[in-house]
Amino acid sequence: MYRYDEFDHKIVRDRVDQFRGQVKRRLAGDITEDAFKPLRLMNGVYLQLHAYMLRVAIPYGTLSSKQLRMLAHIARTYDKGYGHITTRQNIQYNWPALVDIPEVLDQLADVEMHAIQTSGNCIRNVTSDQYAGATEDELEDPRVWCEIIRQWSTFHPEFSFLPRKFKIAVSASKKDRAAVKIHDIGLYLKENENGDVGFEVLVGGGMGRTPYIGQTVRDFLPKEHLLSYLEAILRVYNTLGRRDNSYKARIKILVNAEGIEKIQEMVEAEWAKIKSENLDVPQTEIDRIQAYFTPPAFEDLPATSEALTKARGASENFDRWVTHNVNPHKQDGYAIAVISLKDHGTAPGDVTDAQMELIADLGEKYSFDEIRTTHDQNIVLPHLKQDDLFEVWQQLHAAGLGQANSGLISDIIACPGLDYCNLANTRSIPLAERLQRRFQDPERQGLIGELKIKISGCINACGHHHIGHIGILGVDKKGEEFYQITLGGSEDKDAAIGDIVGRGLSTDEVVDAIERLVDYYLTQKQGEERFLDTYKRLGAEPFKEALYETA
Amino acid sequence: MKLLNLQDKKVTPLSPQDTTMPFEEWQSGDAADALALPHDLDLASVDLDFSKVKRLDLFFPIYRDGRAFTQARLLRTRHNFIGDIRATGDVLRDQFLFMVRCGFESFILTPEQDEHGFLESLAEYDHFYQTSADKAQPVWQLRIAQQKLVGAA
Repeated sequence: MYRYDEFDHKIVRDRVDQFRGQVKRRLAGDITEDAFKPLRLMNGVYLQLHAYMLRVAIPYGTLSSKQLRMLAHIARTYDKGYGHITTRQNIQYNWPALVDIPEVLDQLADVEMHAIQTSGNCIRNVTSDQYAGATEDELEDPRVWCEIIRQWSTFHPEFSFLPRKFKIAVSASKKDRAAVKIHDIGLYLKENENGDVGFEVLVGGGMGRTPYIGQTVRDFLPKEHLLSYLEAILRVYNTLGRRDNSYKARIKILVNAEGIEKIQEMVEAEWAKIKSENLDVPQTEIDRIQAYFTPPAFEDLPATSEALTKARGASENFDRWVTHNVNPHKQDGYAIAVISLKDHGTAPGDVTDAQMELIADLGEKYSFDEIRTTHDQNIVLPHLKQDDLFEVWQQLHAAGLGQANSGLISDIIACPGLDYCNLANTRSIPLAERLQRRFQDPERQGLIGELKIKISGCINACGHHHIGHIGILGVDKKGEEFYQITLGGSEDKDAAIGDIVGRGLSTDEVVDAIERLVDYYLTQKQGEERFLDTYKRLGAEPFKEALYETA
Repeated sequence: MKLLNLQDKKVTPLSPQDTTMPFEEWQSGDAADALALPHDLDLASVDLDFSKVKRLDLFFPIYRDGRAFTQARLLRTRHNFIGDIRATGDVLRDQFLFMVRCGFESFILTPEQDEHGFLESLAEYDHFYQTSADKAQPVWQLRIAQQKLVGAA
């Protein structure tokens, strides 16, 4: 993985010192909360319902054991013993004291981490495929480009006060695990007819109150021009994006108001003027960064492991975990494992300091010191020997991390909701828990198969409900919580916004109603169909009837 | 109000003679030494001749509105404007470095704002990752220079 050189170190240290000065001015009363707001927001510090919240960047979701141990230490020392993995692969702490935050940032800098641009109307943490560098269906490691984007976007003088926040994701796989199409800019690495590798560039995707799927602005961009092309898009957006209404300020609104052809025309015209302005990093720099992403020293192993087969036969729980949480690796004899942070009884994405320590140890011992966070709020060990899987699972299981539910109905994405967030209308976490309890039977979950439930506690859609196979949006009606259901959303390459099916359901109704949906699917399922496939085949009507029990 | 000038790092009171012509008047043909550009003017593709203008004022209606960063950079890189670019409106210490990197050279401050803080903020960072309108070499260029040194030694 990428390591800082003296320049990276200096920039992050300078940021810590700068923020220390800003906090000092705030605590001394030299600046008001109003004037402090833009400064703290540029550094991931939000004022939440109960306290300040600190969001720490995990660039493209890649962590070393040392870094994860530091995150555990911060949870233990400055928070209440846990952290929360976000849909941007970051981690947030809900209870730090403002006065401690400069110290926290200083300690993060010791392990090459920071909180830069994890909030504010700037370019946010670039996200990627959590299986990058490990998966068999990948063209090349997309993290090389994520790191190039990370550096370019850090303290960009022109693009740090955009109309609204700006999110970029990069994927290089056949299957899109990074929800690329719902990003302000989405980048798919692809090969053209000559065998050259470049980017398909999408623009204007996003969630929020007006969700859009990104559209292709350029079908093939030679890799070396990435930064100048990004500058061209950002410049058009910074100049023309709406600033009169923050709900209409994202680039998706501009793209859909102007039309993709017009946007394309403007971006291409701008790019033609700036592509030779020394904005793109040269090949030597690309090579330098690439070198950090050289695959680890895998052993030559047989494609299948006898030890694994034997262990699966001996333990039903382990067998189920392998079925759902273990994925193929590009290297024979290895596997990628998902550690589920979706246990009923804890908020989706929450992880305790002790669990982080354990995962760090496992990552160090078994996974070439690499750990990933995922946008569906789980953690991944990307490079495990199949021979070691049973040993790893036993330790996870003992620590309450052995849930075999990756991609299943209880692997729910939920925003923090009214329990933490001052924008939310309703709670999200308690509903996620009730659904997880209702569907806790592992056999039933396995039978249901892949089903993505995503819950947002308000229209800002931080829980990505629009792209859930079943999406749940909390709305407040005269002080009472109601839940609006959307069906048929998807975040993969077939990305789609879910259909709103009808009236909102009360807290009492919603879990039963979703169970009826799922049961209806099971009666209609043909062959290997997932919920989403059956829904697409049959259309909304019968599901609607099941949901509202009108049939 | 006071004026902070980057070249001599000095603050002077804003003189009443220090006037700026609105953009519409200038467009209708009046000659001007100093001109205020609207903050929503798209400078990417306009064909305007600023060669006889000594100073262009760009406006930050509120710190969140970052359009003037793009305007300044375009004036330097596309319009090759070599005169003074002045920041007016909501000019914050903590955006000062960004403004300087985009090509601003003078700044209108309120009487309460401490110019020393502004100037100190310029020294808060030694290195920058990206190319902008200033003369700073991006980090990737420094890395290449460093490697050449190592190679030569």
